Amino acid sequence: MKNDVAKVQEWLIDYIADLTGVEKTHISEQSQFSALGLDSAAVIGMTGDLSDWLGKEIDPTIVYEYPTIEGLAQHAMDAEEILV
Amino acid sequence: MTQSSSAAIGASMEAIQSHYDLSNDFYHLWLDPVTKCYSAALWEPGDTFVEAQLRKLDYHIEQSGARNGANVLDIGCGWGGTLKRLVQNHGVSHAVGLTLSDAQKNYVEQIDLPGVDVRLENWQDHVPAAKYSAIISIGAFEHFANLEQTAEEKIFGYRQFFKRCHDWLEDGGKLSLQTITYENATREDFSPFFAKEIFPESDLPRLYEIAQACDGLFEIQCVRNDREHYYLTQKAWWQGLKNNKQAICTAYGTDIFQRYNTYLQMCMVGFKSGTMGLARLTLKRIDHPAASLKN
Repeated sequence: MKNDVAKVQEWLIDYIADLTGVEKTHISEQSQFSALGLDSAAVIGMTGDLSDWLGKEIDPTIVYEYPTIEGLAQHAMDAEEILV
Repeated sequence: MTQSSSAAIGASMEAIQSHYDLSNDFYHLWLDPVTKCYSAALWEPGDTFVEAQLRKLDYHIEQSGARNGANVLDIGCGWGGTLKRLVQNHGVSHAVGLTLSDAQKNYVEQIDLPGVDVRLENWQDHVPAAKYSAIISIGAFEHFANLEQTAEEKIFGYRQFFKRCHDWLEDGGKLSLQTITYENATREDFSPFFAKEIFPESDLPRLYEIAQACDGLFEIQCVRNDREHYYLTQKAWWQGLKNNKQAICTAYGTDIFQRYNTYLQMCMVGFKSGTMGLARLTLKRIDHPAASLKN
């Protein structure tokens, strides 16, 4: 499970680096999505793509409860698996 | 068919139709299958989506005192969920529904509800045949102002609405109103995506603007902010949309699916985070407004 969470964190860091142009080395697991410049539309795009990648439904509002890469990755792995 | 005869105070008929006339079948793929309400439900623990939508309708019917009424008005009647509930379950003998959507009017007429009269008509142009015992308006007030208006023009428009409702109601009659509001956001924060692609020519009220606009005409008897209920409703719609992704993409195109997929999720975020609220107000007609408050 720990490895799975690490993989999701890695996916999120790659995704955000690609989206924002910020160097991966400057994005830590504790980084807040808002501090990385993701607005609500960007968050929705990210959770949608993460959902497709994981094959699970990811409610975009969860980002406001778990506003860091670390928190979202953990929650995404804990989420009930629902194929979408 | 009645056409709008005066300049619309909020959104024009064309702006309304650009959203609601997309296709009845499209909306009915993801709204709940029984009420087809396109507005926030009222949830209690354990409710199914349909139960929560019926609970919302029954709430407004009770709050407005519409039960067993002789003549009830529904402003912004959608696909007829409230009208149907009024005449079939609450003993209302005559109910009038106003909509600016041709598709919605045609749909309600096809259901053929005895005692229901649905009109393609702006509330500004409505001339009732008789006084109403109660008025319900759910999810229409969001279209009674637009982003081009000044704050004063916006309040003036709302005031006109409350004056009409006041004129149309019997003594002691009530208006049960449900609308999205700005909470921790302002009109400057209104998403360009919403303004351009989802709800053109529309703007949300702030709660105090509603209170200001009805001051002296209606007594505010009850206010609820049920934004979490709208989050749950939007989530149910979003899941319905996704469950019908293939059918929607085939019939209406991927762009439509994506637009609604984004719109519903942005609403979920807005209601969950509190940038938007969901107000349900019970307003009782002041039968003899003080002279200084009439205008």
